[in-house]
Amino acid sequence: MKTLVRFNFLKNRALIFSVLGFHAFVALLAPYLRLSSTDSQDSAALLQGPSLNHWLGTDSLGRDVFSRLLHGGRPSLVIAFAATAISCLIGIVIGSIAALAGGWIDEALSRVIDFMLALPTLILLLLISSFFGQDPLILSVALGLMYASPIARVARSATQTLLARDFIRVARLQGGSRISILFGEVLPNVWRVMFTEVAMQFTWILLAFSSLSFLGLGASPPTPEWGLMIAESRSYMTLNPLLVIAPIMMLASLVLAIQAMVDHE
Amino acid sequence: MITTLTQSQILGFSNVTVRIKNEARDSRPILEAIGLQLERGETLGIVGGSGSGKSTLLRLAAGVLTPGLVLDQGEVTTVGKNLLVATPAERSNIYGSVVALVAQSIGESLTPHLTVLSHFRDTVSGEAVDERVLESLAEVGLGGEKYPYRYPHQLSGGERQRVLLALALVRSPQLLLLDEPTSALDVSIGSEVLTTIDRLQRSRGFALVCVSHDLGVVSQISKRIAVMNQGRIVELGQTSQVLRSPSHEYTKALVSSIPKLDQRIRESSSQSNETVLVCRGLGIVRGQTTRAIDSLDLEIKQGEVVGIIGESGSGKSSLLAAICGLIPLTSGSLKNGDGYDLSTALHLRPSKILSSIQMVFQNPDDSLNPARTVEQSLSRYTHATKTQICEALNSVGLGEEFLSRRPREMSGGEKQRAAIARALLANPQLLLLDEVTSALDVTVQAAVLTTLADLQRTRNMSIIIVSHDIALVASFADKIIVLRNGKLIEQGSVSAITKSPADSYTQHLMMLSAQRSLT
Repeated sequence: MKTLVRFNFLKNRALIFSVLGFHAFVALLAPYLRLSSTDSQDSAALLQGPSLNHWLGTDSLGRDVFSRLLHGGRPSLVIAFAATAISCLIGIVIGSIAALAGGWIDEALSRVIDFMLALPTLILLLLISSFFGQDPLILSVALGLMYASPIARVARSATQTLLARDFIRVARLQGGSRISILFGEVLPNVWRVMFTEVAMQFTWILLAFSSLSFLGLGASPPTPEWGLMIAESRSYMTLNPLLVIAPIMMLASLVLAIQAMVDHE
Repeated sequence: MITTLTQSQILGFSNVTVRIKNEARDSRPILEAIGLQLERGETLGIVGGSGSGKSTLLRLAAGVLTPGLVLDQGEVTTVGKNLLVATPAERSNIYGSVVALVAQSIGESLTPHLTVLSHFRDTVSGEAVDERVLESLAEVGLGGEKYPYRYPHQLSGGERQRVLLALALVRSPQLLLLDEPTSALDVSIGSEVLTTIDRLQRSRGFALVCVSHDLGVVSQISKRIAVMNQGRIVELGQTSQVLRSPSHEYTKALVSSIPKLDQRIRESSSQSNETVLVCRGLGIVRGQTTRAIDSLDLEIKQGEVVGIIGESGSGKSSLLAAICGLIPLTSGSLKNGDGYDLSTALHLRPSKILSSIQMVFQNPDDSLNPARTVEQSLSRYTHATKTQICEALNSVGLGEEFLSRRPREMSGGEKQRAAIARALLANPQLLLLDEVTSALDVTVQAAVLTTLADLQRTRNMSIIIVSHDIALVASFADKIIVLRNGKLIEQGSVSAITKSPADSYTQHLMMLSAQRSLT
């Protein structure tokens, strides 16, 4: 009997890592590649299809889509990295303190986490962004705070499992203080469990920021940003479909590759 | 080569070799050239250490090849069928009516949301299902109207094992396969389950294969014994003969490693009159109201080894945890030899007091931080130098190469030795051992106990050893304490407790232990 080999894109290691490599290369080196400027407007060539001069054509202001596309991941990635770092820091500290302290402290922190989880993230982000403006720093902190609660929850249960293990008991018997047990025994092991959760959070934050830009409250024009690019070109989709399809492909491939990599670990 | 079974045979293995999938051909197989025949109505016990391949063999007899393994060569035959090439329909026909398997983990083998009766509905069909179920439950000692409607969480461990047994036997198989039938049960409950199995085997006449790490269990219900080591059957013969005059080196080591009531692992050493621990009227309440320990008096002298025996739930582990300060006392007093109050919370104790009492735990996989090397684990809280660590490792029989190893690169026995070395680095006066060898193979257990005996002698430490294995405690301790439901039932020297126990419960425990021992 002939065996059928199904090619599973999400399980192909080489493919996942080459997509991730491509995104890393583009995000890091886009400004140093000899691309046409992202802002220069060519009023003689609006909404053109792909050509030798403009590989993916031009948008409604005559800007080069290819160049904007390659630059378009940078703002979201910077904010996603910053926000993930913030949410990790807050989440792991709160989660492990809750588990370590127990009693009413645990109870109180857990209710705070539940409360944060119950908030509608995107609406709250819209509110923050319209009050405080589209400052990347404020957005990173807001995203970091908002996405800290799932991390705190996982960190809390991971710490609880760890605390019941015998090597923690031995550390207490041998005179380890709570702080040294937290940093020496608990956190290094919590981190191992957390990696998956953190990587997934990163992709959610990436998508959240792009959604915010799409709604006009994330990155501000004329910054090239995928979410913003989709929003700006929506009305011209029929004239040059690539205007919308290309940024969607970039965003989707990045998010999928990260999630597939996490599954692979 | 195709072998067919004769009329009188029920199971045949011919030259069976099983390997890990995609592994090189010169690596050691999981099972190597296994040849075995079982007559109808015959009982066979298979013993061996962990990784010996005994469970793989048993699963193969049930027609299941453990995922990740491949059958390299050979055949497994049950009543004329090569089970491994049987179609799913044929296999489900064979399974239950010809062969039945009772798997090891009794906790996971029953579906939590189904009653006992519903479990049978998948297996039994036709008329008068309920009557047949009641009948087969009564046969395994679960008679009466109440059991069919209970859920698994309403059953004790012994009752679950009996339900599994009834499930396996309800379609009257000709061959029953048991994987570690008593390893999750207390000695007394395990012994009752074995008696039931033995009675059923005699009355129904099915053939039986029982796998266990415990020679005592296997010898109780099987006429023949196969000893496995590293994927091979190294010895096969009549139970009494294998036990009395083992011929293979491994079997000899296995038989001599089993602790016996009347055989010392450790020679009693001189004890001083100095006490290291005094408890008076000790009480521990766990949870809301459960009395784990009830008004217990205990005194331990320097250099004395005290053994604690009792069933699970008797409060053994709670007592140890309270003595070292991991759980608080509810009443009574606990002092060390100098009169320091040991009810003080751990983080308030001076470091000298802290290090004077150390504990080694049951599960070696849990005792070392997986993120650290042995050197880091051993030095972090003891602040020992590298030379001191090397010395401690040497004293437990581990070389310097272990300094840089991580727990995942070590065997269970090695991890437990490293955990003992860590306790020793604190230089304790009193060492608490909570079932330290129960996760280890018998031969490894014997080596670890010998090491501990040497260390006790050279350092003149006091030790409290807790184990479910009465013979082990009796062969290691100077004095035995019997606990039941948190109360001290009896205490005395080893010979007094083992030879002439005063309390009826102690007598019962000693009888069970003698039953399990091999003579």
